[in-house]
Amino acid sequence: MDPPATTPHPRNMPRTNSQSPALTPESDTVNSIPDENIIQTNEEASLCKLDAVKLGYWQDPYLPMMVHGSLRHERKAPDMYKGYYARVKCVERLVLQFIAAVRRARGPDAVVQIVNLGAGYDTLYWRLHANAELVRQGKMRVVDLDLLPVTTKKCHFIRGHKQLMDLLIGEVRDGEVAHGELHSDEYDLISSDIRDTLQIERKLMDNCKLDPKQPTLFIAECVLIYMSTGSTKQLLSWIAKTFHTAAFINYEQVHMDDHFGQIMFDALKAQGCLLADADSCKSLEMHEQRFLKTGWDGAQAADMNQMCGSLPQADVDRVDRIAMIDEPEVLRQLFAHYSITWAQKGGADIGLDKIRLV
Amino acid sequence: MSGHQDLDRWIEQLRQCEPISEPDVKSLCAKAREILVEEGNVQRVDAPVTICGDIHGQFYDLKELFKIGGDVPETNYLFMGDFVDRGYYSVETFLLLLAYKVRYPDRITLIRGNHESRQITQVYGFYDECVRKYGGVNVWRYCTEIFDYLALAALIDGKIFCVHGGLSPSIQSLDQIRMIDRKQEVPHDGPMCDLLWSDPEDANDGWGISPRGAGYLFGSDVAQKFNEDNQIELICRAHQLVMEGFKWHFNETVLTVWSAPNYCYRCGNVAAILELNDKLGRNFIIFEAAPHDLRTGPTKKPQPEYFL
Repeated sequence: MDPPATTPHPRNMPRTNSQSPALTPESDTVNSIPDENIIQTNEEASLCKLDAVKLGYWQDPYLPMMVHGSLRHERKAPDMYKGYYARVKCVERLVLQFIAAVRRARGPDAVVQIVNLGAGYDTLYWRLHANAELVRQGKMRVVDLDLLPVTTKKCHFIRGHKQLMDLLIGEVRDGEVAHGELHSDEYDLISSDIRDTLQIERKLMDNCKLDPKQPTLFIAECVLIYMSTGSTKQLLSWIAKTFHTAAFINYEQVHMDDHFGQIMFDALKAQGCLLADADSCKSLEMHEQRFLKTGWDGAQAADMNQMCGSLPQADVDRVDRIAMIDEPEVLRQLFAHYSITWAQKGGADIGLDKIRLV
Repeated sequence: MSGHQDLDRWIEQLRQCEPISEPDVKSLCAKAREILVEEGNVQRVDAPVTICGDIHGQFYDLKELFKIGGDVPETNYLFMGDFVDRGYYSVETFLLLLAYKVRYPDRITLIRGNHESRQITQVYGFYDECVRKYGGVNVWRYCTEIFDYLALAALIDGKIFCVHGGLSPSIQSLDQIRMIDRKQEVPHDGPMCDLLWSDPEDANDGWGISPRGAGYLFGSDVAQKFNEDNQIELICRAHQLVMEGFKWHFNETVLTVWSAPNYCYRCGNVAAILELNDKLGRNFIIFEAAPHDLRTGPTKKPQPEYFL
């Protein structure tokens, strides 16, 4: 959706016939200039989601306030809308399961902490806080984290819409980057490069006052693949080490080593978006191992064909009536190349290990 | 004939992947209608002929097809529908095929696919493309009106039945297809819909519900009975992406031919066409997507869609 800024990193893929520029390792440093093309993927994804919402794939009254359809934009094929629908609904379902597990085990005094890495214009905080039942059950703190060009726009949109401001609790304060960050009692918007775990730690703990003892859910959607293997490893290790109880929802490409994956790699590269860590996204097992090798207790991954099976069939049928899927095989192939991984660490006592993807 | 001068000019322009003007489209469609209205629902075709499946606006891949299969009118072609949608050049693709049809009516047969529909083209790209390229909906209107005149099927030498999708539980004989009033938008159900939407189902006999939400799945027993009842040797159809370009079903009584390589610029499949000689001897030709450096002109390289 909205990846961190990374300068391309070399990658070895046997089938690649395109020339990856031979980059030096230091090109993956945190101080490199954010890649406009990769930031732009947030705008693209958000516009596509907005289309889908307007067409009735799912409801999100807050998204139109975040996305201004100023870009020239043509309608996408229904496969794309259904794909965003499946992703939004599957992530939402896991978020609700996480919240339910925390409430069940820890009661209303626990703070449910959610950190959305590369959040883009995601409206998760507002969708959750518009749900009176969830709010009644206790505190939910959501931190949206992205690169400054993205958070600056998001800040502007939030401050410009009364409906968004009305759902923020307590005083709304500027963050350390004026116009680019904001804080409130249960929502924070901060800017950071995701590869800079020192900065993330400082901002999450000092500025957002996250409590590492409270159960914390991290979300990343099409984010990690733009970073180097090492940066992802560092991030996942840091979370596992820092938070007593943590969960992670990772939506990302899979089977990047087959012909379809190679075409995707080349096509996105031609658009200026290098999937730098495609080598870590070759199989569902690799997605699981990424977590298991960085200090997490459990991980399961499923592709989006399997994940669709976790959604209420009646709702999937409703969505399929919005626009006819002309060729099921094309959709199946596309969905087979995206996946969700659910990982947890220290969560057995509150039942996070019992949550099943499908 | 002065008409041929216009046509040859349009063909020349379209072959460069340049759309012709809106008045020219109107004029081309008017000429095409006069020809298509005379064709039967089951259009008779004589071998030798080269059979092609879905094209879906992949203009440069269509040019590749002509390069390997031969040009019109040297090669006699049958296109089994789905000229538009998904690809970036539906306008140029359909208008070029239509211009060939008008210029060489006996050397190219076009039958209707499920995407030759007002409803589907509004969802899958052709409508948007017309509006983008012409600044209005007129060209889309002219083209979709012509869609209504396209034949529903073809019969090669009385032995090979060609249709975009497949069979219908409402149809037992070719004469029943001949009775359909085809000059309408593709209906949501019924025989005309089924011909354009159905698929063969290898796993089960009889009729099944289609995952597409239109048409049916038909089993080998259904195909066998239809072929026997109508003295047909083979049902040739398109409609389904097959990664290898063509696929046999039911002991070689049904054949899928797919002619859009790397479909949606993303799927990684090869494409095929089927050459039939005058004795109906078969020769499949497999081809891949046109190399990008053959894509010339102001248009940029098509970008496949991914979740970002």
